[in-house]
Amino acid sequence: MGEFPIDRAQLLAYSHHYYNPAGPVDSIARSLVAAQNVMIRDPSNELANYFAARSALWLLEFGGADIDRDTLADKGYQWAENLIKMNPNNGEYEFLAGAHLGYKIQNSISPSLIRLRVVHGHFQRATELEPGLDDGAPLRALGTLLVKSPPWPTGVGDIDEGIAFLEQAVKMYPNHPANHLYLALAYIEDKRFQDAQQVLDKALDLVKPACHGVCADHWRNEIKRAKKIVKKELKK
Amino acid sequence: MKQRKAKFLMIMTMFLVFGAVPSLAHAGARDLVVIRPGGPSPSDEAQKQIDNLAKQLAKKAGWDEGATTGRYFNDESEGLAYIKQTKPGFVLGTLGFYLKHKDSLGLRVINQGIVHGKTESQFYLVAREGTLKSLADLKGKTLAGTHLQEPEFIERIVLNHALTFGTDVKVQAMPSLRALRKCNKGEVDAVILDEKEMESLSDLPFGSQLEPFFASKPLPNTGFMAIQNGPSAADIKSFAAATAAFCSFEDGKTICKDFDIQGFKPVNDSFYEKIRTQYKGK
Repeated sequence: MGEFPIDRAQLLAYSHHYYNPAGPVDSIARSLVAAQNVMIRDPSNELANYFAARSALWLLEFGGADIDRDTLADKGYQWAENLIKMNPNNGEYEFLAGAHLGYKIQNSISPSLIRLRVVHGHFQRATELEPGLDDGAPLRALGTLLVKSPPWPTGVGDIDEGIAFLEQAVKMYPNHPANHLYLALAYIEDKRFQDAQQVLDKALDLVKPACHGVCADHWRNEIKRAKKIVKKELKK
Repeated sequence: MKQRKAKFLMIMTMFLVFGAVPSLAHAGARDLVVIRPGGPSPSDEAQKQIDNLAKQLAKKAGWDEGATTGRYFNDESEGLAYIKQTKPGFVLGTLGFYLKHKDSLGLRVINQGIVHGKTESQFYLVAREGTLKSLADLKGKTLAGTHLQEPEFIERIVLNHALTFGTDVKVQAMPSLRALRKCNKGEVDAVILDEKEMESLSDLPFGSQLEPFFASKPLPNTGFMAIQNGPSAADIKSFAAATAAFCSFEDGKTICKDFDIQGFKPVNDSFYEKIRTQYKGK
């Protein structure tokens, strides 16, 4: 991976420089390593924990099949929990915690309902504190969680409330393709395939202007996969 | 003290990214299929979960776990298509599924799920306070809820043929929480709930505005079933013994804890003869 700075301030600047939402993977990995290098000597450095947690989340989402998701989600959640302890009223920190624990649950063999409730708590807080983060990321996350989780009374799932959050994300931040994609997926879950089709078409139109590089490919693939499901269902 | 109750068939679900529908793989006489009509979507991770469970059961049964697979369906017709095409040996399904497909699939119940210490459970009908007092009051009205994904079971067993769906009462299958909200708003007249839902009704902000007006008799749980011409008698015996350890499996532990399952009790298929007679007709 090449030489990293040694000085803490330079490492933090390095980590920030290499974090680019458009990727590529190597760049985000550099950002992560640089932040981790700071935490070797200064584990409670808030910026380092933040840079590490956000890079780890990016890698979980876009990093591809070679990522050790379990370890990364585990560490990401620890960093996010550190951040919440340092600053309990930061919506982004709550979002990072919910997202990492969500990935951790996703990859565990037997996720428990109790942990799902913890994820729900994080996303709920993030939505209250900073709903506009990344054009509605907390709304997307909370909405999707509610759509997919075990429903009442067993779990936190509530498909109607979930769809409401996702529709709110689309209304408030109509130019982010992920808002439309996740709403479409929720409509699919609710067997509203006509609604899903319309929303997916919009999502595809938005990918190019909204995102470049790795995330563009990811969103396009997800949208195409969803369109295939909708097409199959509408044919029935 | 309130007793926590749970539906007689439980299935693990999880918060996950949506997954594509996996391609059909050939099943065999030791493979497991889980069918829960109206249950959570069969994401890739849910499939992995069930597949892991099947492998753990196989290992316990003394079989080649690598050659054993598990699949999950929340759509009855897709589950049936899978069974007919790939012929797995075992199914974990609801009482409604068993009664509906007992003859066509030659199903034999091997054991019953023990949920909160019991091998039976009840269903309830609720309505806005003071609006309905009996099943007869439901005539000409609308009944909703997730359990109406299995309308024949509800009509013939839960309500014991007291009402004819479509003629006496209109039915709408939808998530229970949605049905309850609609009932509270007067958009549907009644909702059918299982034991756990009934007990948890008071947790909802509008729960006190709804009241039960009907409770079914206790109905026997089902558990794992063998499919005809699938597993050998020896394999059925091994599988049944393996399910006794279900709650100690890596995957089984959390499922049992989350859904208040204590295990599975062996049962003879003839135990369900009476309820099958009830299902077939008046």
